[in-house]
Amino acid sequence: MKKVLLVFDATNFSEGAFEYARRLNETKPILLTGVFLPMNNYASLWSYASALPGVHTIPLMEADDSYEVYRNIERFERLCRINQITFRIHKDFTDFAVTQLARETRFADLLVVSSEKFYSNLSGDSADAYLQDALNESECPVIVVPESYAFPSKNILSYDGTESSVYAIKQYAYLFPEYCSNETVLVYASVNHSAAIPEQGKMEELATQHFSDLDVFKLEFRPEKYFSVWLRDNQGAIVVCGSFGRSFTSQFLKRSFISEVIAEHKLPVFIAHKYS
Amino acid sequence: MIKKPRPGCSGLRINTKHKNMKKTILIVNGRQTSPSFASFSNYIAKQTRSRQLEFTIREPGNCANCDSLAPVIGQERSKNTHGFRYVEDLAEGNPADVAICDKWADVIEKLRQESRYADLMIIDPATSFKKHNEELPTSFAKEALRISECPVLIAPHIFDGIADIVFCYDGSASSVFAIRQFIYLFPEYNDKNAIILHVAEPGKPISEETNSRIHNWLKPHFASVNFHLLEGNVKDGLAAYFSGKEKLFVVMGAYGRSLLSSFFTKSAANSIIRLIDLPLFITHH
Repeated sequence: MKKVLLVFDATNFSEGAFEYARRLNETKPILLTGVFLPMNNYASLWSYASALPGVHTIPLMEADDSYEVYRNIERFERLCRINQITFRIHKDFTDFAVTQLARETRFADLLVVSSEKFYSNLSGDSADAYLQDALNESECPVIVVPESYAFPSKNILSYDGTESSVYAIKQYAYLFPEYCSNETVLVYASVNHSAAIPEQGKMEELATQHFSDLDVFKLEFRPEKYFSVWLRDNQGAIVVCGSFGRSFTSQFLKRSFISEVIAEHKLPVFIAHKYS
Repeated sequence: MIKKPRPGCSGLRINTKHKNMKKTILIVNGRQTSPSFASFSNYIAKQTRSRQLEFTIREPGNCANCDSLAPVIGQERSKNTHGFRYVEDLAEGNPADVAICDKWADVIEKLRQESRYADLMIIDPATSFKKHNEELPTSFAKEALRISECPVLIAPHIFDGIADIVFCYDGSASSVFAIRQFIYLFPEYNDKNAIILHVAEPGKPISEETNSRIHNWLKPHFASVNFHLLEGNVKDGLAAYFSGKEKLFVVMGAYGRSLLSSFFTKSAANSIIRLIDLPLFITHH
């Protein structure tokens, strides 16, 4: 049973993130841990409560936004019970820092976070910075989800020949063997249009051990244009990338790869990077 | 089958019957082969449902098995369908492949590259290409551990099955990463007992909070989860803990590399004795 973390800030409840966890649980039961981070009160004392019988209850929060947090927790509990999801709750009272989230992710298999709701009360740049920090510091893979999307029935594996991109593809395959028989596309793009796919034979050999229905594509001509066009044909997919897709895209995409994929194409993104 | 190209794309469609299989690299020394190593590798490949790649290293003119390997000389990667076969082909039409490397200067770089596209590397700690006897693990085995981009499994000399999994935990992200990778690569061991061997500095025992987190995380993955605290000198403590133990699978993070040499010692007759003759799964970030 995988342990999945759903992270919410104090006042925002992400329907998109919860829905993703619910669908995961439908395929294969998960242990869902709701992590409720405070808005203003950056603290480090975590309280811990379990929904399992015989374990202690949740202490109340003392901050101004405690009412909102309490309502979010209540909502989380109710939804988990309705959907028959085994759950736990972690919430913080004092000095939240991203390092605290990192501690949570150390002992988890997956973190699910909303791209739109995570600290969305803050201004755009600050909210992005929080999300970026969460991604940077997470010791387990992360799925970033938009609020509205189709649950993936297809895998898009972004590959650029680097250790980072191969690492992410492996982690996705290990975590979700149940989705490896879905239609899968291994996509390579390079500014050097004539460049061959790096180590194509080896990559295909690895990918075909895990993914039974694999397309291998190289984006040619003008990837900066066609990548977007190509993604439009791939609704209902999840995009897998390592190191936030920087090396994959920074050479030819001006905007953030993840931002574009999530915001414009409404696709969830799976990110795994080696924590150092 | 080639798919109809889309605008701006070229592509290839590959449909396979494989489902949730793995790929392992088996490092083979062209001039010294070990039946027990082959047997262990086959066991692991079957457990993990792996396609195996024999990464055979040989120095021209210095290879005891050259004749048996002759049919694949000069082929970078080929199906090992002739004569010599070090590992068995697995069921499900997944034959073992062979990659021959006979340029010593290229070995490490090629191995690193192969490890990027593999899920697990299996190595005999006695793998050596030196003319004199080396201490274990050999300099080559240490180098393979250092450069590998996938987890490395150090093969035991005598393998007698697995009863319990021992996770050596020192509080680092690396040791937790190793646990996670092991769980993913060996889901078939979820009926085994897990032992968290906490390697702690004196006066720094595992906190209740951490204890609880690890327990809650691992409990769904194994039949049982138990803790064992190991205080004091790590090398001595590990050697004492594992001494005489059998049927354990040992999982270690980055510090496993530096501790590895303490698992072997020299006897009075100058032969190498394995103090810990167990499969060792080592990975690092």
